[in-house]
Amino acid sequence: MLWLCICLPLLPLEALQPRTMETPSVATRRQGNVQWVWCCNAPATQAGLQPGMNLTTAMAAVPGVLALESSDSAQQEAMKRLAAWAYQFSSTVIITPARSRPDDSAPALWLEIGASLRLFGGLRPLITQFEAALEPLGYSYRLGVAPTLEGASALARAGIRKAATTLTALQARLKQLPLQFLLLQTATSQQLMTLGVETTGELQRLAPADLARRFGPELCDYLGRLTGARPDPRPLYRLPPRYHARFEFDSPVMHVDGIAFVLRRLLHEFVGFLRARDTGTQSFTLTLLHREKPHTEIGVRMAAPQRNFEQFLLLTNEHLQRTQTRSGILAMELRADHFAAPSVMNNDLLAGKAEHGDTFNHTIERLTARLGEQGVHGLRAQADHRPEASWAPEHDRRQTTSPSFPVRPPWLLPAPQRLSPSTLPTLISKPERIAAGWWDTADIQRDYFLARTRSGALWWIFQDRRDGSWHLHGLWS
Amino acid sequence: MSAYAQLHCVSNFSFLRGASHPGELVEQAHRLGYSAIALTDECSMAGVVRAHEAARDCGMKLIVGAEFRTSNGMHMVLLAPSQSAYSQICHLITCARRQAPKGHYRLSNAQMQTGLDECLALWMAPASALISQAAWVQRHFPDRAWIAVELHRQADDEEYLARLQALATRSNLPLVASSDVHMHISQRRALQDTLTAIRHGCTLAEAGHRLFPNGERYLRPIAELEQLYPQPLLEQSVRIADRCEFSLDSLRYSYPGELVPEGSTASEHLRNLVEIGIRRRWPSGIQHRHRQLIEKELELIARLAYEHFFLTVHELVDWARSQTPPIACQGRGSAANSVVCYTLGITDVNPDHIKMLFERFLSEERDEPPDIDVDFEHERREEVIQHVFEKYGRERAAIAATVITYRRRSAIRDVGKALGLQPQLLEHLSKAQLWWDGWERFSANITALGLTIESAQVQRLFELVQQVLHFPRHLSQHVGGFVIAEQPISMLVPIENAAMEGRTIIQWDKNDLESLGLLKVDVLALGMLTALRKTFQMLQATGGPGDMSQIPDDDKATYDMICRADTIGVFQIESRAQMSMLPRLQPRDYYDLVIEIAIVRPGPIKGGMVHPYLQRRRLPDDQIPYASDALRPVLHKTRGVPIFQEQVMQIAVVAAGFTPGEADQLRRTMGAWQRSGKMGLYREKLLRGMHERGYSPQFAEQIYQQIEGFGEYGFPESHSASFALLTYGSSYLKHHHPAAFFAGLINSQPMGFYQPSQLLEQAKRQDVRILPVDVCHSDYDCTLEPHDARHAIRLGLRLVKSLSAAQAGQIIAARMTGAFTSIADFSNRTALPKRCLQQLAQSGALRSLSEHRNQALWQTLATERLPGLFQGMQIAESTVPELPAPAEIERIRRDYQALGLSTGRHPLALLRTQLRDMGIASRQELGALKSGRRVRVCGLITHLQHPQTANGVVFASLEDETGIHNIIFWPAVFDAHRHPILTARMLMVSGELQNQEGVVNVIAQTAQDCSALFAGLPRKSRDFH
Repeated sequence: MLWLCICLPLLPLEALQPRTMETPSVATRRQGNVQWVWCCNAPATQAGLQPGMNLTTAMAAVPGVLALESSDSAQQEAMKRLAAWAYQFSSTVIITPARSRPDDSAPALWLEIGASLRLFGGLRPLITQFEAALEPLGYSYRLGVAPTLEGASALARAGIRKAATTLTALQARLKQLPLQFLLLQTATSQQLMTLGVETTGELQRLAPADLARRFGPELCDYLGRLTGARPDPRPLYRLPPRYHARFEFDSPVMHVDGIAFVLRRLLHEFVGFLRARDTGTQSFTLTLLHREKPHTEIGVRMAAPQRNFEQFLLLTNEHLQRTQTRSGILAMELRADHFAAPSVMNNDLLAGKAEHGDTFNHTIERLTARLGEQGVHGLRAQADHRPEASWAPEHDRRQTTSPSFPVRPPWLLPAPQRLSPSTLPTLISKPERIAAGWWDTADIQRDYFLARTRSGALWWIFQDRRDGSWHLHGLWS
Repeated sequence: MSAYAQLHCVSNFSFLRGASHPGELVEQAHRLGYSAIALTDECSMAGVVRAHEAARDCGMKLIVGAEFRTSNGMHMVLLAPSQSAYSQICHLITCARRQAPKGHYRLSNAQMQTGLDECLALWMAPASALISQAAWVQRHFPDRAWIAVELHRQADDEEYLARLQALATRSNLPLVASSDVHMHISQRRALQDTLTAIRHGCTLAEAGHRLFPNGERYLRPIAELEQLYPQPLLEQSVRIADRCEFSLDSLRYSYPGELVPEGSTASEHLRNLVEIGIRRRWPSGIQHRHRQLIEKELELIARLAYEHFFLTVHELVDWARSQTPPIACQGRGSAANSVVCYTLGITDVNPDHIKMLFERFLSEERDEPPDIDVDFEHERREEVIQHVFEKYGRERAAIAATVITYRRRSAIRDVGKALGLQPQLLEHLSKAQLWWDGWERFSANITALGLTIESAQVQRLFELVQQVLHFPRHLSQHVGGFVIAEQPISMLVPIENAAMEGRTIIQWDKNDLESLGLLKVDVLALGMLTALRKTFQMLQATGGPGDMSQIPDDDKATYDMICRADTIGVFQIESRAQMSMLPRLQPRDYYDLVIEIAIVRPGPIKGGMVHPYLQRRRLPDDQIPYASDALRPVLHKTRGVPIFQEQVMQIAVVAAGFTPGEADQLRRTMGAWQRSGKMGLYREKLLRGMHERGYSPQFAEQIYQQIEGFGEYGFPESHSASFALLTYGSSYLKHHHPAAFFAGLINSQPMGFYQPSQLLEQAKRQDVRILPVDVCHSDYDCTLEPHDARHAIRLGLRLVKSLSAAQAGQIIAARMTGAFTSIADFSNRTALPKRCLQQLAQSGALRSLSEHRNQALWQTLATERLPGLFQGMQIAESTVPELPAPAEIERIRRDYQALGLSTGRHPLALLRTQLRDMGIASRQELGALKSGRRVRVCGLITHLQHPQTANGVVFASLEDETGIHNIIFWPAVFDAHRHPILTARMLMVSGELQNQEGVVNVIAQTAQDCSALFAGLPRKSRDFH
């Protein structure tokens, strides 16, 4: 066995960032009320930020720093996409489970390359090709090659790019390796360093029984796995039968331009997956998820199955240019269910299943079909003293109890209509004064009245207390 | 215009409900021509004294009352027509508050059925009110209850009024107009909404119907009320107001009586005690002038009937001194510096050393209680507090409240949250050094910080934060202000639960008490008293002075040390600001110290008095200019420059024509100018008065500035006089008995300006030998050990971080049974957890049991606690591996990590050669250099400060092995090097040397983090505290 380890020190940050940033950026982790800097990009490191810093301190030190709270799910998604992509180089892929250990240094991914060497024409061509393919995905990475998993990852963390193809060669490299590159519990490595044990070689010289007594059996187990003295079985990554990749943006992206970088990454990874399965596809779906439904779905179809990145990108971009996104994009998904040869579509999936019992629902469905998802929505009352803010579309997710209101007209105009003072209807009630909404852009200060027009219609009108103007706001039929 | 009295009105003491200060409400009601206003905070009397003050000043009638919501859904306001009604309400509030957690109250209808027979009641009946509820009100408040009609221009106003009218007819309860006032002007609407959102813990956008639909709950002009309410309802309010005769001025209060033995009067008893004291103080007979003073004082005390007050304080002091071991204590304050207090042992300010300030201590005109604060050892004050509760009972002794108000940081956080701003952004805003004093500068700074906030949001935040500043948030426990009375306190003021278990507080703070003339005794905690007591205890064994009285006066060597500003650890004069004053002021006697302590304060600094005083110290007596002959006696002892609070008051009398009573009003106003905002009034009177008497506008303005400065932290001579005793005593001990002094200080931590490491570095510089922590020798506290014919400090186990006092006790107890033989033996017999053993190994405390720290750590790592049968068994180790011994630099690093200090060399001492190559000068070397030279210095950051009086300048202290560098960062330099200054452990600064009159500063030009020179040192700076 020969393992190639890809160590991804900035994955917590890069899994969240839509593109590489020139500004100092950090991924944070929350512990109780405190946020800690977990990893920093290069500009942040240059500005003096370090992992382990309190975020408040970091923000005081570098006021412009962009801080993203790390997300296990985003990291795991990125990991899976990478694993699927990496399958093209090896059919034995292993990934670290999400947060395998709280003080785990960096996420990593391993490929068994011993079996692929001949296919790629040796170690060096393989690495060259591998890096050429990895580069466009835009991750920061380090590589290490060794006959054990932990050995490869220790070399990767230490940035030792010289492959150790045998256990002896590995041992020789490990001997001088400073302890900080090993995957030890923070307390253990601190204590060892305090004791004056600085390299792996010095650690190995201590009696295993003494070590186990002091630092627990895990340490000896780890050292065994590191050097190959003990087996290191792990679950293998399996390619899923269907492709589904997801990327979550840290904050809503307002324009399709903002997703270009991520789109390229997703498509690159998708092509890698297709290559790994040695297949192609005739269609895939890109879904843009918004805060409010519905999502924007873009179906990309091709005349024949293929796996050409440029082609995929071109087609997708054409669709995107025609797509209007109404609100910010929160996440993006790429999905493909069918590969290689086109299969016969199961067109009768939905046929004949519509329920006809509920005519109201039926009407709604037909209306929705005709007017589009955005054209039809429900209404619900919302606790706000401002009449125009006292209702909201039903799909709004904010929770409210059902508030009670004073008497309100059934028909509220979309916007109040100004009335000329000379043609005011007769006021038939005392004023109801409403003053609210200063905290957003729509502060109002109004006196509302019931009024009767000469023709007998009942109006709900108000006088704006700031300028004295009169407006019609609602009607009783 | 109709007459109208507003009977239902909550202030900001109904926390997070009312949006105006009590005074604002009263003054606005006065402006609007209301006949009276009732302050009816929800189950609280916390705001009434402030309202009372405002009412007294503007001549408004104030009615005292409170609002309640019962658990049965009744919403009532109770008003106090008489003192007994007031006591009933206070009692009800006390009951309701005491049975609920801090800040809340619980009240049932049943509790309102009895004990309120003097109170008037307003019922805030809802539209859905039941006739049975009306009958309940009618039954329990016969002829004393009304239905309050509160109309706020809502849609159903007419229907509501009609329903209440029907209810009134059926129940025979009369109606009265009222307004449920929450703010004094309608412009507070946004603030009131914001407070509501904060109260509900939601944003304004989420608050929905929890907000009022409009801003009508303000004090509306009567003309507007006339449109809304039927005339009889308005008239009714005035009739109710007319029934309320009670004023807080009439509150009567009696001192506790039990201190006077039966058959004797208070006067006689006090005289007896004084006579005993005279024989103790002057065993060889009292001088005539002292006897005369005492007679004069006793006569005045008797005339004002303050004997009980002096007896009460005497009892406290006497009790404390009679404990074993005695609790050190000392009084201060205007009344404390009387000869009577000197004879009673309340203070040690000898009348031979200072001209008594008795002329100010009590004045008949002012009719205010005398002021005595008593400081006790900070570690034992709790015993004194418990004694007070035991002696007088919880009914009769209570602690005053401190009103916790919105500060900038809390205001930004709460208001910002309500506006829906991101928590991170708010944290950033509240910590950034922005300027909140003007909108333009503020918004410019926001932009400069690169923050992207919608500008309307920023403006709203800015305005609301300004408004909410100084709004009360909750009541907390005063540091030690006691009210002790003959009758139950809850007759005077409601009592509620404090956060501390079993502790209760009254609803008034100390200004409230003072304003009403109630007796208050301040039982305060002072760390220096603890440290001195511990020092004296150690000295007893070694033959040094055993208490303050054995310290010789006017010791030249001590004053020489003070003049060199060699005062780290000394009481009061150890701060950076004080130390930079000492070489210039050159204190040479006790009274110079009194001045020194008072002069480095915001008052004299803001008033620009420091420089003139220093100049005039050099002038011969006859060349000192005085602003007028009249001021000569006032300013004589401070060479024509006003420094003490008392002098400023006297100037107001002598130079501006204030009566003594007015001058005292002024003093109180300036102590609380935030709460009344009335300083402007006095400014005019002061400037005019001084102008009329021929003083220059410049001098008058200076005096005013000083008054304002005192407002933030006034410092009277009477306090300084007592403090100076401790300053001198601690200076003497530092100079002559440094080992005991620094050991005593370290054993009393936390206290003072410096941390143990800095105190220890100073001890080292005074050639004190420091012995390291050692489990075979150390006690919990630091101790003195004979060493080379002198005494060395043996560091105590208390310094080992994360080792508790109990665990240290385990070590000492185990050691008593026999010396430890090995680490395994130590671990077995102390049964300490592994973590502690490791910490001890790291700190070097196992030095006597192992070769070096790494060996010790290796062995402690292997300790296992075996259960039951196997306890005490030791598992054989294969072999002890050869581990490298830590180098000196590594030992020092671990000392700092495990102890926070090092007995070894100072980290900078190790680096000195390297630093010298980098052109870095030590603190000692700086002394010999000329001003204006460019220098580079380096040291551990120990303090960062930005005093308010310094206009954004930041001061840093950098410690090296020879002393402490004072670094001055101008704002621009600070901003440019903010990051290293805020985070470095070791800082290198280049700048210009300023060396004047023995004060050495470096005006920084650049700063650089050089912690890497000595990696692994923790930052131990006290920043911006």
